[in-house]
Amino acid sequence: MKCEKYLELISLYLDKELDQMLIDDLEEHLSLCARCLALFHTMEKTVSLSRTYYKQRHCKVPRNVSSQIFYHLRIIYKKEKF
Amino acid sequence: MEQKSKALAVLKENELIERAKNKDHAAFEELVKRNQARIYNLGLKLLGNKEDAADLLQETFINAYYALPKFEGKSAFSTWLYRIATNNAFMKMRKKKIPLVRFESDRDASEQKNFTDVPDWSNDPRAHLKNEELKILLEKSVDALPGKYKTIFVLHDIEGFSTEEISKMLDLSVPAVKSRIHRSRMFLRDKLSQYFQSHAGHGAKL
Repeated sequence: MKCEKYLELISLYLDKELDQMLIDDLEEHLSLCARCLALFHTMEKTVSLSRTYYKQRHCKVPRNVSSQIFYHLRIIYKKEKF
Repeated sequence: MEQKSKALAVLKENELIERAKNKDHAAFEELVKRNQARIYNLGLKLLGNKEDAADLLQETFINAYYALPKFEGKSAFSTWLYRIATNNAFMKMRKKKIPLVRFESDRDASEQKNFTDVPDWSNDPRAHLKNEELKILLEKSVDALPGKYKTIFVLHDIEGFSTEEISKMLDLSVPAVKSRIHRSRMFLRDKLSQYFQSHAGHGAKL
Protein backbone atom coordinates (compact mmCIF):
# COMPACT_ATOMS: atom_id res chain seq x y z
CA MET A 1 0.00 0.00 0.00
CA LYS A 2 1.28 3.44 -0.93
CA CYS A 3 1.24 4.94 2.55
CA GLU A 4 3.78 7.64 1.65
CA LYS A 5 1.26 9.55 -0.40
CA TYR A 6 -0.97 9.91 2.67
CA LEU A 7 1.73 11.36 4.94
CA GLU A 8 1.31 15.04 4.10
CA LEU A 9 -2.44 14.59 3.69
CA ILE A 10 -2.63 13.64 7.37
CA SER A 11 -1.26 17.04 8.33
CA LEU A 12 -3.67 18.83 6.00
CA TYR A 13 -6.55 16.71 7.33
CA LEU A 14 -5.71 17.81 10.88
CA ASP A 15 -5.92 21.42 9.70
CA LYS A 16 -9.20 20.81 7.82
CA GLU A 17 -7.49 21.91 4.63
CA LEU A 18 -8.42 18.94 2.43
CA ASP A 19 -11.22 18.89 -0.08
CA GLN A 20 -13.89 16.24 0.22
CA MET A 21 -12.48 13.85 -2.38
CA LEU A 22 -9.15 13.62 -0.57
CA ILE A 23 -10.89 13.38 2.82
CA ASP A 24 -12.83 10.33 1.59
CA ASP A 25 -9.67 8.80 0.15
CA LEU A 26 -7.67 9.39 3.35
CA GLU A 27 -10.45 8.23 5.70
CA GLU A 28 -10.79 5.02 3.74
CA HIS A 29 -7.05 4.49 3.97
CA LEU A 30 -7.02 5.21 7.73
CA SER A 31 -9.76 2.63 8.26
CA LEU A 32 -7.54 -0.01 6.62
CA CYS A 33 -4.02 0.98 7.70
CA ALA A 34 -3.13 0.78 11.41
CA ARG A 35 0.26 2.44 10.85
CA CYS A 36 -1.20 5.55 9.25
CA LEU A 37 -3.96 5.67 11.85
CA ALA A 38 -1.30 5.56 14.60
CA LEU A 39 0.59 8.30 12.80
CA PHE A 40 -2.57 10.42 12.62
CA HIS A 41 -3.35 9.96 16.34
CA THR A 42 0.20 10.63 17.51
CA MET A 43 0.60 13.66 15.26
CA GLU A 44 -2.67 15.10 16.57
CA LYS A 45 -1.49 14.45 20.13
CA THR A 46 1.91 16.06 19.43
CA VAL A 47 0.20 19.24 18.23
CA SER A 48 -2.27 19.38 21.13
CA LEU A 49 0.47 18.76 23.74
CA SER A 50 2.64 21.49 22.21
CA ARG A 51 -0.21 23.98 22.07
CA THR A 52 -1.25 23.37 25.67
CA TYR A 53 2.32 23.39 26.94
CA TYR A 54 3.16 26.78 25.45
CA LYS A 55 -0.18 28.26 26.53
CA GLN A 56 0.60 27.28 30.11
CA ARG A 57 4.02 28.93 29.81
CA HIS A 58 2.69 32.28 28.62
CA CYS A 59 4.23 34.98 30.80
CA LYS A 60 3.92 38.70 31.40
CA VAL A 61 6.56 41.10 30.14
CA PRO A 62 8.83 41.96 33.11
CA ARG A 63 8.33 45.59 34.14
CA ASN A 64 12.00 46.54 33.58
CA VAL A 65 11.92 45.07 30.07
CA SER A 66 8.83 47.06 29.20
CA SER A 67 10.30 50.27 30.68
CA GLN A 68 13.39 49.86 28.49
CA ILE A 69 11.26 50.07 25.34
CA PHE A 70 9.64 53.32 26.47
CA TYR A 71 13.01 54.70 27.58
CA HIS A 72 14.51 54.04 24.13
CA LEU A 73 11.48 55.41 22.34
CA ARG A 74 11.76 58.66 24.30
CA ILE A 75 15.40 59.00 23.27
CA ILE A 76 14.27 58.62 19.64
CA TYR A 77 11.51 61.24 20.07
CA LYS A 78 14.07 63.70 21.46
CA LYS A 79 16.47 63.07 18.56
CA GLU A 80 13.64 63.64 16.10
CA LYS A 81 12.90 67.05 17.63
CA PHE A 82 16.33 68.35 16.77
CA MET B 1 -0.76 62.16 30.97
CA GLU B 2 -2.59 59.57 33.12
CA GLN B 3 -5.93 60.76 31.74
CA LYS B 4 -4.62 60.71 28.19
CA SER B 5 -3.49 57.08 28.49
CA LYS B 6 -6.90 56.13 29.90
CA ALA B 7 -8.56 57.81 26.94
CA LEU B 8 -6.24 56.01 24.50
CA ALA B 9 -6.92 52.67 26.13
CA VAL B 10 -10.49 52.70 24.80
CA LEU B 11 -9.54 53.60 21.22
CA LYS B 12 -9.68 51.02 18.45
CA GLU B 13 -6.41 49.80 17.01
CA ASN B 14 -6.84 51.50 13.62
CA GLU B 15 -7.49 54.85 15.34
CA LEU B 16 -4.31 54.42 17.39
CA ILE B 17 -2.34 53.59 14.25
CA GLU B 18 -3.60 56.74 12.49
CA ARG B 19 -2.69 58.86 15.49
CA ALA B 20 0.71 57.20 15.85
CA LYS B 21 1.42 57.86 12.16
CA ASN B 22 0.77 61.54 12.91
CA LYS B 23 3.49 61.44 15.57
CA ASP B 24 1.17 60.97 18.56
CA HIS B 25 3.75 59.19 20.73
CA ALA B 26 1.24 58.22 23.39
CA ALA B 27 -0.83 56.43 20.75
CA PHE B 28 2.23 54.45 19.60
CA GLU B 29 3.02 53.57 23.20
CA GLU B 30 -0.53 52.28 23.65
CA LEU B 31 0.07 50.00 20.64
CA VAL B 32 3.25 48.77 22.33
CA LYS B 33 1.35 48.05 25.56
CA ARG B 34 -1.33 46.09 23.72
CA ASN B 35 1.07 43.93 21.73
CA GLN B 36 4.19 43.55 23.84
CA ALA B 37 3.18 40.34 25.65
CA ARG B 38 2.59 38.48 22.37
CA ILE B 39 5.93 39.55 20.91
CA TYR B 40 7.83 38.83 24.15
CA ASN B 41 6.34 35.32 24.35
CA LEU B 42 7.09 34.74 20.67
CA GLY B 43 10.72 35.66 21.43
CA LEU B 44 10.83 33.23 24.35
CA LYS B 45 9.61 30.41 22.13
CA LEU B 46 11.85 31.19 19.17
CA LEU B 47 15.03 32.14 21.00
CA GLY B 48 14.65 30.15 24.21
CA ASN B 49 15.82 32.69 26.79
CA LYS B 50 14.62 35.88 28.49
CA GLU B 51 17.56 38.09 27.47
CA ASP B 52 17.15 37.46 23.75
CA ALA B 53 13.35 37.73 24.06
CA ALA B 54 13.76 41.14 25.74
CA ASP B 55 16.16 42.30 23.00
CA LEU B 56 13.82 41.04 20.31
CA LEU B 57 10.90 42.88 21.88
CA GLN B 58 12.77 46.16 22.04
CA GLU B 59 14.18 45.90 18.51
CA THR B 60 10.78 44.97 17.09
CA PHE B 61 9.02 48.04 18.50
CA ILE B 62 11.85 50.40 17.57
CA ASN B 63 11.82 49.02 14.00
CA ALA B 64 8.02 49.27 14.01
CA TYR B 65 8.21 52.92 15.11
CA TYR B 66 10.45 53.81 12.17
CA ALA B 67 8.51 51.65 9.69
CA LEU B 68 5.01 52.75 10.75
CA PRO B 69 4.64 55.42 8.01
CA LYS B 70 4.94 52.54 5.50
CA PHE B 71 2.26 50.41 7.21
CA GLU B 72 -0.69 50.43 4.82
CA GLY B 73 -3.09 48.27 6.79
CA LYS B 74 -3.16 45.51 4.15
CA SER B 75 -2.60 42.99 6.95
CA ALA B 76 -3.55 43.17 10.62
CA PHE B 77 -1.20 45.31 12.71
CA SER B 78 -0.25 42.24 14.79
CA THR B 79 0.66 40.29 11.61
CA TRP B 80 2.84 43.19 10.52
CA LEU B 81 4.55 43.25 13.92
CA TYR B 82 5.13 39.48 13.78
CA ARG B 83 6.77 39.95 10.39
CA ILE B 84 9.23 42.44 11.89
CA ALA B 85 9.75 40.23 14.95
CA THR B 86 10.40 37.03 12.97
CA ASN B 87 12.91 38.82 10.72
CA ASN B 88 14.72 40.05 13.82
CA ALA B 89 14.60 36.54 15.29
CA PHE B 90 16.17 35.08 12.12
CA MET B 91 18.99 37.64 12.35
CA LYS B 92 19.65 36.63 15.95
CA MET B 93 19.61 32.94 15.00
CA ARG B 94 22.10 33.58 12.19
CA LYS B 95 24.41 35.43 14.60
CA LYS B 96 24.27 32.47 16.97
CA LYS B 97 24.89 30.05 14.07
CA ILE B 98 21.57 28.30 14.71
CA PRO B 99 20.65 26.40 11.51
CA LEU B 100 17.63 27.98 9.84
CA VAL B 101 16.62 25.20 7.44
CA ARG B 102 18.96 22.25 7.97
CA PHE B 103 17.70 19.30 10.01
CA GLU B 104 20.01 17.24 12.19
CA SER B 105 19.39 14.22 9.93
CA ASP B 106 18.64 14.26 6.23
CA ARG B 107 15.07 14.27 5.01
CA ASP B 108 14.80 10.81 3.53
CA ALA B 109 16.35 9.03 6.48
CA SER B 110 14.15 10.92 8.92
CA GLU B 111 10.88 10.34 7.08
CA GLN B 112 11.60 6.72 6.36
CA LYS B 113 12.24 6.14 10.04
CA ASN B 114 9.10 8.00 10.99
CA PHE B 115 7.14 5.87 8.73
CA THR B 116 8.37 2.38 9.35
CA ASP B 117 8.14 2.69 13.07
CA VAL B 118 4.91 4.16 14.37
CA PRO B 119 3.75 3.08 17.81
CA ASP B 120 0.45 4.67 18.87
CA TRP B 121 1.25 6.31 22.19
CA SER B 122 -1.57 8.86 22.00
CA ASN B 123 -3.50 7.17 24.81
CA ASP B 124 -0.47 6.39 26.95
CA PRO B 125 -1.11 7.82 30.45
CA ARG B 126 2.35 9.43 30.27
CA ALA B 127 1.30 11.48 27.23
CA HIS B 128 0.20 14.21 29.61
CA LEU B 129 1.64 17.54 30.67
CA LYS B 130 1.79 16.42 34.30
CA ASN B 131 4.68 14.30 33.07
CA GLU B 132 7.69 16.58 33.71
CA GLU B 133 10.01 14.47 31.54
CA LEU B 134 7.68 14.88 28.61
CA LYS B 135 7.50 18.66 29.06
CA ILE B 136 11.30 18.93 29.04
CA LEU B 137 11.49 16.70 25.96
CA LEU B 138 8.81 18.69 24.17
CA GLU B 139 10.62 21.97 24.74
CA LYS B 140 14.00 20.49 23.75
CA SER B 141 12.49 19.02 20.60
CA VAL B 142 10.87 22.31 19.53
CA ASP B 143 14.24 23.98 20.19
CA ALA B 144 15.96 21.37 18.02
CA LEU B 145 13.86 22.32 14.98
CA PRO B 146 15.78 24.43 12.45
CA GLY B 147 14.97 28.13 13.00
CA LYS B 148 12.57 28.65 10.09
CA TYR B 149 10.70 25.40 10.79
CA LYS B 150 10.41 26.26 14.47
CA THR B 151 9.07 29.70 13.56
CA ILE B 152 6.45 28.28 11.20
CA PHE B 153 5.43 25.59 13.69
CA VAL B 154 5.08 28.17 16.49
CA LEU B 155 3.17 30.65 14.30
CA HIS B 156 0.75 28.01 13.01
CA ASP B 157 0.30 25.38 15.69
CA ILE B 158 0.84 27.52 18.79
CA GLU B 159 -0.13 31.07 17.82
CA GLY B 160 -2.90 30.04 15.43
CA PHE B 161 -1.93 32.04 12.32
CA SER B 162 -3.25 30.69 9.02
CA THR B 163 -0.94 29.33 6.33
CA GLU B 164 -1.82 32.37 4.16
CA GLU B 165 -0.88 34.81 6.93
CA ILE B 166 2.42 33.00 7.53
CA SER B 167 3.14 32.94 3.82
CA LYS B 168 2.83 36.74 3.73
CA MET B 169 4.78 37.19 6.96
CA LEU B 170 7.74 35.12 5.79
CA ASP B 171 7.60 35.67 2.00
CA LEU B 172 7.10 31.95 1.36
CA SER B 173 4.55 30.21 -0.85
CA VAL B 174 1.53 28.64 0.87
CA PRO B 175 2.57 25.10 -0.23
CA ALA B 176 6.06 25.71 1.24
CA VAL B 177 4.48 26.79 4.54
CA LYS B 178 2.23 23.71 4.61
CA SER B 179 5.11 21.41 3.84
CA ARG B 180 7.22 22.93 6.63
CA ILE B 181 4.37 22.59 9.12
CA HIS B 182 4.08 18.93 8.20
CA ARG B 183 7.80 18.28 8.47
CA SER B 184 8.03 20.01 11.84
CA ARG B 185 5.17 17.92 13.17
CA MET B 186 6.78 14.72 11.86
CA PHE B 187 10.06 15.68 13.52
CA LEU B 188 8.42 16.44 16.87
CA ARG B 189 6.21 13.37 16.72
CA ASP B 190 9.28 11.25 16.04
CA LYS B 191 11.08 12.69 19.08
CA LEU B 192 8.09 11.93 21.32
CA SER B 193 7.71 8.45 19.79
CA GLN B 194 11.35 7.69 20.63
CA TYR B 195 10.64 8.66 24.24
CA PHE B 196 7.60 6.40 24.52
CA GLN B 197 9.45 3.52 22.86
CA SER B 198 12.51 3.84 25.05
CA HIS B 199 10.30 4.06 28.16
CA ALA B 200 7.97 1.24 27.11
CA GLY B 201 6.84 -0.75 30.13
CA HIS B 202 8.37 1.69 32.65
CA GLY B 203 4.91 2.64 33.90
CA ALA B 204 3.43 6.06 34.34
CA LYS B 205 5.77 8.73 35.69
CA LEU B 206 3.28 11.39 36.60
